[in-house]
Amino acid sequence: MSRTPRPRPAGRETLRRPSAGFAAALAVVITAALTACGSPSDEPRFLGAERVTVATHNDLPGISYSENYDRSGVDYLLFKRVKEELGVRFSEPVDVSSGDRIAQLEGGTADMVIASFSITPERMRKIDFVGPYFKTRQGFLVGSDGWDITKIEDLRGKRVCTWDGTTSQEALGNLKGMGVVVQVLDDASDCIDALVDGQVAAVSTDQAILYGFAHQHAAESLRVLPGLTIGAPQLYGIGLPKGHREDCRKLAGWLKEFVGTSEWTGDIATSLPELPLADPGWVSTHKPSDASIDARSCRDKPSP
Amino acid sequence: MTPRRSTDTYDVKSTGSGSLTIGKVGRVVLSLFAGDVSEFSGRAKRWSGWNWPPFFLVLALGATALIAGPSGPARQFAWVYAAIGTAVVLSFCRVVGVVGDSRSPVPRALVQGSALLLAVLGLVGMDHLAEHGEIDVTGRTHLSPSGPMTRMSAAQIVVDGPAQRSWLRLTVAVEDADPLQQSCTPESELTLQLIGGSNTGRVEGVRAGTPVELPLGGSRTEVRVQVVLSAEEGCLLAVSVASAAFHD
Repeated sequence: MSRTPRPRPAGRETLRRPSAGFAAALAVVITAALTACGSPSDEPRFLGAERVTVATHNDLPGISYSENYDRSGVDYLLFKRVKEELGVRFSEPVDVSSGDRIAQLEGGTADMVIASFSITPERMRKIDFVGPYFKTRQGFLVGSDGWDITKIEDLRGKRVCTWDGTTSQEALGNLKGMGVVVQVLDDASDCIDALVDGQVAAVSTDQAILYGFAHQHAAESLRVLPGLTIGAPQLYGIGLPKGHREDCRKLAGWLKEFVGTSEWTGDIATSLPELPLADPGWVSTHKPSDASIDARSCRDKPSP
Repeated sequence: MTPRRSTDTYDVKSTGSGSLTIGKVGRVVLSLFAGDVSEFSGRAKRWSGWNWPPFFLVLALGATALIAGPSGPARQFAWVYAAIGTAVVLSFCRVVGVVGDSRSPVPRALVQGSALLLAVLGLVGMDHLAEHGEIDVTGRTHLSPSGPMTRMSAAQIVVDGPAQRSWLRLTVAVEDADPLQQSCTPESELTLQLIGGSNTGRVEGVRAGTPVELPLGGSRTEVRVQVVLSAEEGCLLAVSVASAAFHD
């Protein structure tokens, strides 16, 4: 016996039950939306960041120099090579002073420092290095009236300038016993200005930096004293914060390959044209070895 | 409180709200803390008196070996300590009758004999080490002149006192003298050469932390090793002796 359908109340719309297909489609859409909201970004990352900030100098011609927002130098070219290799997004480089390099890495202001950063055991305890990518020694830059200075003893009684936050101060301090007067100013440009003005007899820091100033101030006859060096070799490395060893080793592996290429040679010769002129055999004395890079990269202390 | 004295227990009763009642004191407490000891001592009384002399002999041999033992790296005494320890354990097992229930005397004799043999072995071994074992002389070495070394500079490692063995194992440490200013250790190497005597072994290309064996040859009244540092120009390095030991 068939049932008589119950009469619907007047004025009320009939609510039709949604079909099974519609419900399934709705469930798929909701699930996809939730998945998209919770999933990590597909952007490549380095040092835990999707956009890497690099700090570098802006006042060292030939090494890392900025003029009218146009950057140049060995460190800037290395930054471009690293950027191309890693394939992650980079912010525009930010400026850093010599005394502020470690603080910027430890404080997170910068993810990477490429700033003529000498690798030392003390610094390796606080940050990681990838390098060295360049070797240099501490030398002397003299002006046109420094023709009589050819050896260390000729600096006796003379004023020699360097700037704060560098490894150059200590080596110069060892010359005080010889009667050398050491003057420490705030930055490189202050020392160069003092040299051009005749207030100091010489400026002392890494020869690589001095070659850059000599080229920039060729008109003032600034020159690097040949063969006159003090202190231990200075090994430039890329500074990274600790805690990213896998990324650090990846970058170190790339650096070992890059240092052996003609691009490395070309970048140095282009940025520091005075160097090949003063030292035709500069590649053998300034190029670091793979063993040297392995001994200092991504470690808390150098290998013995 | 009404104390009632019995032979070995006391009953204590207290009344009133908030009062604390203390239960029986006596064998209950003793059984909790000293029951195992009393049971053990009871069983020990049943051990045969004949088992004790061999045990005391093993103890005496072991004690003699330990007292007469020379100083030196602990690792070279490991087998001697193991022999003496095993001897004492075996002999004690024999005393307590762990190997004493079977009717045949063979197992008991084997255990006791093994214990004695191991104890003698330990004593002989200790004597051998006193004559030929390794002697740690790290504390008797110094660098002369002291102070940081530079490229191609030379110094001497001096071991105070005569050479008591025929070989010297030397491990030299090299560190940056000024870790704030330089990083020179990975590129540094040493050349070590014995001075004087019939045997002047020379070893080149020594890296810091790598042990080097130097033959001392015949008897020497003193041991001196010349150290020449190879490093980058301008580097200042602190050289020291990480470890030094005489051995045969």
